[in-house]
Amino acid sequence: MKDLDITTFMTENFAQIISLWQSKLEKILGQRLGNAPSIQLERHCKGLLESFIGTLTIKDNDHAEAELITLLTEVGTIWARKGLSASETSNFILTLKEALNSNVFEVYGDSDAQAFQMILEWQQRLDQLLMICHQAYTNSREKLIKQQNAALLELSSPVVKMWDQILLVPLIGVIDTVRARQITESLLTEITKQESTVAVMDLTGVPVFDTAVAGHLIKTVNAAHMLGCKVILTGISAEGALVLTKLGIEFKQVLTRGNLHSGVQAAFALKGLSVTLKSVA
Amino acid sequence: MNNKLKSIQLPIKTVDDIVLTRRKAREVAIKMGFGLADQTRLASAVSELARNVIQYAQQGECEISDQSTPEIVILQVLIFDYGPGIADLEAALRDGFSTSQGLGAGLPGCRRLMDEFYIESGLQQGTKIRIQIHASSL
Amino acid sequence: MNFKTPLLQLGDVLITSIQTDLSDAQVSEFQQDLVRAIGVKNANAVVIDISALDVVDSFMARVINDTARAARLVGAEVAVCGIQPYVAMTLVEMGRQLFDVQTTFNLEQALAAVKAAVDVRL
Repeated sequence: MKDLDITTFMTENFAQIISLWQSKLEKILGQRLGNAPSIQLERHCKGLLESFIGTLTIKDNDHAEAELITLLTEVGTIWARKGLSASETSNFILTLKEALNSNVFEVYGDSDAQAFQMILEWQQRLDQLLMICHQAYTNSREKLIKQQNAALLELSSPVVKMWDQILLVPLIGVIDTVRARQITESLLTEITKQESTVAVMDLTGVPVFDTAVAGHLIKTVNAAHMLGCKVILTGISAEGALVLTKLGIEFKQVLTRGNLHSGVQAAFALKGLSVTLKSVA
Repeated sequence: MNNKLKSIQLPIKTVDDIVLTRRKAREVAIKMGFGLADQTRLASAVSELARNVIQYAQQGECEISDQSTPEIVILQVLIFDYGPGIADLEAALRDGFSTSQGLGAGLPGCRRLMDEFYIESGLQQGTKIRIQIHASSL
Repeated sequence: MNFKTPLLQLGDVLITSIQTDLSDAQVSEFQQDLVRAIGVKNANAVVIDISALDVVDSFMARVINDTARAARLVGAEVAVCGIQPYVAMTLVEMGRQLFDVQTTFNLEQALAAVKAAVDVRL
């Protein structure tokens, strides 16, 4: 029986551990990593085990430690981007633990005290690795969510050219400070681009209408006004209107119309236009 | 992660310094990747505060620095003077309050423009104002 | 009479612009020039172009408001044109309606606006 040494054990059984680890991973992940995963997976597995051994061989091995963290971060990030779940990502380390454990029993037999000692020792280190990997996964996911939020924000406040110098702003969903700013920004940009003098802002799709929303909208309207663009608000719900009057808010110098139809009519009237029925032959 | 910009110190002594200070603040904002809207609100706030310095304390100083964390890009401007200070801070932060000929939108307006607004002042203690604009580091 | 402030006359409309931040001395010079010119040139309206300003703080807003008020007192209709979109955003964020003057995006709209106001008067 050889003397107890984790690193010697890992180095000697390197190939077996890797192949067992990788096959376990592939079994769990299947095709989830895409079409050509095995090459990258092999690189990740080998690289990780090598640096892991490196950190165990020499204490405070900064280079190996850094390598380890880079690899774990890479795995966490890539897997998160591929849409794998958090528990699936934890498997990267958990399967390594399984592979090590079954290998050590194979070599030393399953009732060996030294084997248990070794398992206990790497258990703790592996848990740390799991944490790092998990953190990278979470960071990546959060970044993704932020990006999606930003994209959604842009999508949700379109400003449409309805007619020459007339804009339409259909608002849908909850309006908070960030969105209000975004709406104001895109409206003002469009006003300067189209040199618009009238904008119809439709609030039919805004579910909650309170002081905060009203405050934001007044700012938007005032800013548009400074650029010489009149704003017509349409689609304020009956509840919304009552809430506003109870709160003592009135939209001064703002034209309001009950629905989009009369709002559009008002906008045309302001520009001296009208819609007439053409006799159909 | 050591690509933070060095902090910049500027004196505020004359009316021309107001323009210089806010121009510098805008420059830093551009370098740090802030958009036009953020640049403009920062420049306005800095202009507002620098003008206060000239108006009430004759002179003061300004420090523009990059205080970013891994998650958030933070641009900070510190403006301070050793002038007469503000006796009633709460009143000064209320809309419509002005001891001079201003519009009374100065400090409260400035606070609304910024993501972070911190003021320290007292009678005969000078005034120190710290403002920040934030952006997520995508 | 000599004016240091750039002033263009188009019929009975005076067009002027604010190019950069003004010092207190320049502000009073600008206001005096404009108000005097209205009298001298018998103007019915004034358009102030501020498209060159990339920052308008409450001081500059007050200067513009005061100028407009003074011009109105000597009988001219006033419009401010060319405010930058981000400046407008910042002004409303700061709160309160900072301009009590008619504002338009471009010079053409401003001219149309003051002409309409003059027509109403006649």
